[in-house]
Amino acid sequence: MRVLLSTLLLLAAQPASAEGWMPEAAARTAAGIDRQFTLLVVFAGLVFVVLLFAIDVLLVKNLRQDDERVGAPGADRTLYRVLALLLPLVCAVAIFAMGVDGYLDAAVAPMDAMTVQANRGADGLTFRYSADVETDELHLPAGRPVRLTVQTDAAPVALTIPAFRVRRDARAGAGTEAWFEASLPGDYPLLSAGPSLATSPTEPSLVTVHSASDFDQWLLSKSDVLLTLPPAEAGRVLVERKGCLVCHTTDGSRLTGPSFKGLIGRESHFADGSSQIADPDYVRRSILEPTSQVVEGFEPVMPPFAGKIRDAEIDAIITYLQSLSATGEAS
Amino acid sequence: MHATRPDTGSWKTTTDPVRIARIELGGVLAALVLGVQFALVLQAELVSPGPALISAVAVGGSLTAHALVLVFLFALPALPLVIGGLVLPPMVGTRNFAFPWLNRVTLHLYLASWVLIALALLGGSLDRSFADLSPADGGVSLPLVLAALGLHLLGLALACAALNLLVTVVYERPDHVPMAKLPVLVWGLVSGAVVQLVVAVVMASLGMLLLFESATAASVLGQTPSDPFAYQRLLDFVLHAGVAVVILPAIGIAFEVLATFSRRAPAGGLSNPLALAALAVLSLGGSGITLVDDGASPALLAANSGINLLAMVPASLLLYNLLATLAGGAIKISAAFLHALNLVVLLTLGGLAGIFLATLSTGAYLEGSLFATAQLHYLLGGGATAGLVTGLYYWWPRLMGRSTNETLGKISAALIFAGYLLGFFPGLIAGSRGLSSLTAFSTQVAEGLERVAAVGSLILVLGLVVVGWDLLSSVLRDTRSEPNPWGATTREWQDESLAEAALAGELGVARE
Repeated sequence: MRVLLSTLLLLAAQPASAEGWMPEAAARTAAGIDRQFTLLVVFAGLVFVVLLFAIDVLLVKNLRQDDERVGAPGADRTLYRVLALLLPLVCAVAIFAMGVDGYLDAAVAPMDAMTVQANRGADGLTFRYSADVETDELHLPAGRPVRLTVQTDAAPVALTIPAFRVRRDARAGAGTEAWFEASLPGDYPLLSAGPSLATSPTEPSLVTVHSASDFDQWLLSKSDVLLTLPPAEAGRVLVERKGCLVCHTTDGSRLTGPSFKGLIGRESHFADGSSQIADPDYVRRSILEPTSQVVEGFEPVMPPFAGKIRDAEIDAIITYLQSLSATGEAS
Repeated sequence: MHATRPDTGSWKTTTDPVRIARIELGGVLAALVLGVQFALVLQAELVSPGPALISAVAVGGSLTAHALVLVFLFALPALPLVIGGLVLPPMVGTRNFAFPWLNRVTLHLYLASWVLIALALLGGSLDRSFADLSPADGGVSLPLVLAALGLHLLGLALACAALNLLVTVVYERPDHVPMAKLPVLVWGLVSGAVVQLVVAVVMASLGMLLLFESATAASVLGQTPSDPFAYQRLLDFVLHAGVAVVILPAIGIAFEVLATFSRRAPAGGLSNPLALAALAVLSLGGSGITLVDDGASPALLAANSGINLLAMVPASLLLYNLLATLAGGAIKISAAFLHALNLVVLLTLGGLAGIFLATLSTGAYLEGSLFATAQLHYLLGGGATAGLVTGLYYWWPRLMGRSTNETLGKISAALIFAGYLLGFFPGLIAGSRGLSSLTAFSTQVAEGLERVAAVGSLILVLGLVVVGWDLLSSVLRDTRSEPNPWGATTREWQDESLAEAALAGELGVARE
């Protein structure tokens, strides 16, 4: 009996060390909740160990030695019973106050916090950073407070970022928000679960924390230029972002593919012997299905962009190419 | 006029409380076996990498199935129906419940709901998580109808049982049994029954609304037709308050057993019924807030936290009184005694884990995670399982007139204890790492914890198998027990004629 209890005591003492419960914290705001969690682990561990010790001691002391012995009612004292009422009452009040304090800290975001809106739509989670940036992955800056609002169009969703000690539920019509300040750049698990595995399989993914300057660059690279720039300018940025400039130049020189300079309005000769004056429709077709018409003298190596580019983006690129031709004629 | 006649009729028409308790025990144990199988499949899926055994859809279905069966068919009815049905009438000094026919109706409703829920699971298309048990968009499916009807009937069964129990204690108690001298278990059952009545009514309405809303596409409960959130709130209420339905009688059982094997009366006197009643009130208050909480009001959140933390006070008083019972005792360590200690430690563990959830700051992070799941398994699962096994080892001579094997009983106590500790402690840790029962299956953050949990679950199941074997073999080998083998002094052990009648199944009281 004693051996069993001692083993259990060891088992119980193990988790009281608070190590190994939580994942490594990656947010400044996690420190508060970690401190409270550790306090509770120590408190609960202590109570549990004392309980096991008490049972052990009581068993050894009061074991029935002979069949004649009977128990003695009233062996306990009223003082102890009052203590058994008062001590937990004090603990309950203290823990309550601690919890409310910690909750308010975690609930009220600073005024200057950047807002990221997480939304669960029909096809998964999206994160909106501003009017023109919306992505399907969560990127955050280190060292800046971030307010994360969680909304859902249909099924309820629970979003957990263990490294930040943040968990929020949202259901249709009732969003929630949390705030935190990431501290360490790196990738951290983002756990999101719908109400059921059948209707909404879980989507394990990552939160990427950048240094503040890297984040600004990332944000810029994700901004929707169609909304922020005039079409020709947007097209210029897009041919860069989409990687077009790896193979196509804008100064007339020849790389893997023909140059963009003066393309619109020029007659193109194709590998199959046909030819055509390059117009917007031709450019659109060449972007979506490049191998449908391969310009003579070039290899059919361009990947099709169908499904990887929006129509509005193609329009912007066409406008840009037209501007290249216009300046070409002018000069 | 009261007329007594031997109850020799069919089990369908019996009003013998002992016979009814035996049949209910059969149903409860069958539910345990069925539910544990679903749980083991989930456990096996969890330790095997990738979707090895069953698909994600089937995982959702198994989660629903194990929760439906273990919570509704096992945990909630186990203690009030089986143990309460057996010992409450003799404990208050009467031969039967106030309404013996209502006890029979309870049995029939329970068995009917058992069959309906089992058929719903056989139907197979309940492939949704527990929280998602809400009206289907696609109208009425047969399994949903069966499950909803099952929930409705089970709610009615629990309501009948609670009413019968309360009326019996209040009106059938003879004058020579003063209220203040009632055993702690009676108070545990009474305070549990008050909560049970409310839970039962909510369950019964839940089942009916589920049927009505799926059939008519009307919205009674939520803002929109078939609002899953409204149903989730009702289920949360049932689970929250259901914990009290289980642990209040369980605490009473622990008192009876520890006192008998310490050869003294339970310590604490009237502070015990007061503390039990306080727990019932706090439980209703806390789960009542769950019912109206929209998750956004800080005042409601704080009120809920305060109420749940206040439960520490009566809980620790009860724990103190349990230990004080040992302190003054002349203790004989028996199988039932060890199982009772088990029960006390498991409930304490669940209560301590509950503090993390009741504290607002940590609770906001842990709520809905595996931490909360594991805590529920300690309180609801540990309370019901250890409570029932303790009660069976203690009252088996009264229930079946047979004696159990002490060695096997002690071995099973150790196994069940180790199983619960190893099986669910990893859940507390995995939950602190952000995993929920849904994300656990698709992510690899648990780092071997799931293997420890699987070993623990197997040990727990082994312990339950040993208990089952011991109980079964005592009946098969017909090892007759003395009428009062433990030297207990409470009323249910004293009336020799009652014991003989129980053994012979002649307790039926026909009332005119």
